[in-house]
Amino acid sequence: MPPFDSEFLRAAILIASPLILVALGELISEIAGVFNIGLEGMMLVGAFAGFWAGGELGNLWLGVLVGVLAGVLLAVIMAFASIQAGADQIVVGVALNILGAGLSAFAFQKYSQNQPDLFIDRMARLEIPGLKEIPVIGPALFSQIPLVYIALLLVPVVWVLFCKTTWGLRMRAAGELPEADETAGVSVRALRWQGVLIAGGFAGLGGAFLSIGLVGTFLDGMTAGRGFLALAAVIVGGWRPLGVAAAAALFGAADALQLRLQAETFVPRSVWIVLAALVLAFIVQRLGVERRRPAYLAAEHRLFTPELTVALVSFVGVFLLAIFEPQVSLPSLLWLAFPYALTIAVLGGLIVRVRQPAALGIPFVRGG
Amino acid sequence: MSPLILIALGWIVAFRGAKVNLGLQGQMIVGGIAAAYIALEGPSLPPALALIVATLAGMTAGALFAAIAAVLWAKRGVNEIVSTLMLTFIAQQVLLWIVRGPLHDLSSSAFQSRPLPSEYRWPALVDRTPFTAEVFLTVAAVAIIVFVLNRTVFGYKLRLAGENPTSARHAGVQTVQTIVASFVLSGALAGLGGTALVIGGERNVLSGGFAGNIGFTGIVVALVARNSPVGCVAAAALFAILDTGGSVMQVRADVPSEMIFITQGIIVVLVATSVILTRRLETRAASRRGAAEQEDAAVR
Repeated sequence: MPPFDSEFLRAAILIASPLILVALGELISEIAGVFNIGLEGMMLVGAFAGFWAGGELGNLWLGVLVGVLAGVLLAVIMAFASIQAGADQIVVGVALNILGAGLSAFAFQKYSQNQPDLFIDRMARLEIPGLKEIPVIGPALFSQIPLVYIALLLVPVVWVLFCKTTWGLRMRAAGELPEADETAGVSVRALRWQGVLIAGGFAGLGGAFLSIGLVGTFLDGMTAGRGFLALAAVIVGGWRPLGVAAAAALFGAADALQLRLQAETFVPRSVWIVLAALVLAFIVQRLGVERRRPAYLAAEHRLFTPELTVALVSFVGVFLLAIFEPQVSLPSLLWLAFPYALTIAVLGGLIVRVRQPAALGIPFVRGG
Repeated sequence: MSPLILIALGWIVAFRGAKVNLGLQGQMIVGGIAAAYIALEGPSLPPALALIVATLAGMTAGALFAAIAAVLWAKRGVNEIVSTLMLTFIAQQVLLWIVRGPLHDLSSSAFQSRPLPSEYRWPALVDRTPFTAEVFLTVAAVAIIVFVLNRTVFGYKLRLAGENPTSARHAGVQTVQTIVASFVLSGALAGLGGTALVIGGERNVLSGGFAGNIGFTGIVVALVARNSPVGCVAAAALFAILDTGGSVMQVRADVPSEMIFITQGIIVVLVATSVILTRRLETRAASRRGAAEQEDAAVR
């Protein structure tokens, strides 16, 4: 059922992996109470540093390592300003995005002046024998570059760290009720430093993934908003490791889909069917929420709330499109906006509204 | 310089309501597109009316674009940082498509629109100088925003809603409506900035990069001015000088002009941390003085 085939799944997982990495890092930082919107800048320095070191040292793994370190370095500024100095985290994050974009573009400009060939060999795929033979999933999951396996393995690792270890409990306390950590004799500042630095490292890794794993060179602003997509994934995923990874995977799939649709002359029926299914899932969930509402409240509430009406109308519309399969598409430049539009739609349609960590964004002052 | 000031004002207005409008760039792009569209495809109008219509179109487009994020926040609790940025990326793609498609000037080799008709230029206040109506407009915008924020009921409600929403609600302020209104006003200012870029730009055309990075640099201007509308004028002048200096540096000294972004980022980090650090040092000094006085009193 094109375009949803094994090759699509492979591309979706490949594109989603850097997003998953960056989103997991941001999750760790936010859980500890620091809202780090400087991801885009950290990714960009990671992307350039990884590309540069990978090319100069001739070893892609050293490139990845340098990319991670570059992300951590930028995170040090974030950590010092927001944790030690108690500065506004949003303001510092904005500054770091500009700084990261400037640093990477500046360095690339200087580097490219006396460099005839700006392309490096991308990281080779590592096929896992045996598992690769499984139909559909095999080629998609087990014939990827090693960085993908790292990204996918980090999801359960982060989950275990958060939900099963003392460290995870302390980190969560630093974001929910920092006084509790302080009372228990644990340094909130140290925990938050760890959170921010890990977020920087993960963002640097995600950036190096883009330059070394996906593209094979560095481009100005090559992250194209992925840092902010990761930020959205943390919210959509409800600050839980598995949810965040799933949300990042969804955004990655949307990106892979639009890349595929750019090449098609018109939108195939299967895309409309999938879209209709997504809207239907939203409606069913909405109706479930209405049904569970206590009777004394249900009487006050109309069944056809504006949002449900919009959802029903759009479902009927998409369903008709699926039946008639009109020969329509978008110019490829507009398809590029699809993942961003989907992100807004998902954020707006989200029903389960999970509370963010209570102390998120608030500087902690000891005894304050 | 005036688009920078307008963007900075947009940031300040939203920030008074404790909202972070990171999508000023997108609202500015949409405003520019709307103004260019009216100028190129609209009916021929007498000069003064033409400017007014184009300006209003740009402001309305920016306001409506910001309203998407504002309504999503008010109705669905969508984080405005993420939504405004997503909308900015969408606006950028739409712009790239428009200058290659509907508004593409086929006689030009570049992807840009035809030049705007001559009535869509700011009239010069003093002949052959940069003192055009744009300068007047910017000064008026600063004055109006200062007045609205500091001297009107709306400005007062907005400050209450931003600083302490709970107590504002108890005082009978409709916080959500107030904040949504401020967000829309913020978008209108960005739309005006986009209009000014198209109408007052050197080349008078709409191109894929007409907005540059002004939507973000304007935020930096506001941050350096520590969210003071009047301070923005001085900060914008500083950044305009920095920008020109960056271009000259690239030509004369072969230093990539990206250096200015590095400078901007460092300036903001330093401003953000220094304010807090000095305040902390002052309180520490004050408490030490207080302790010394107490000791003195005890001795006596």
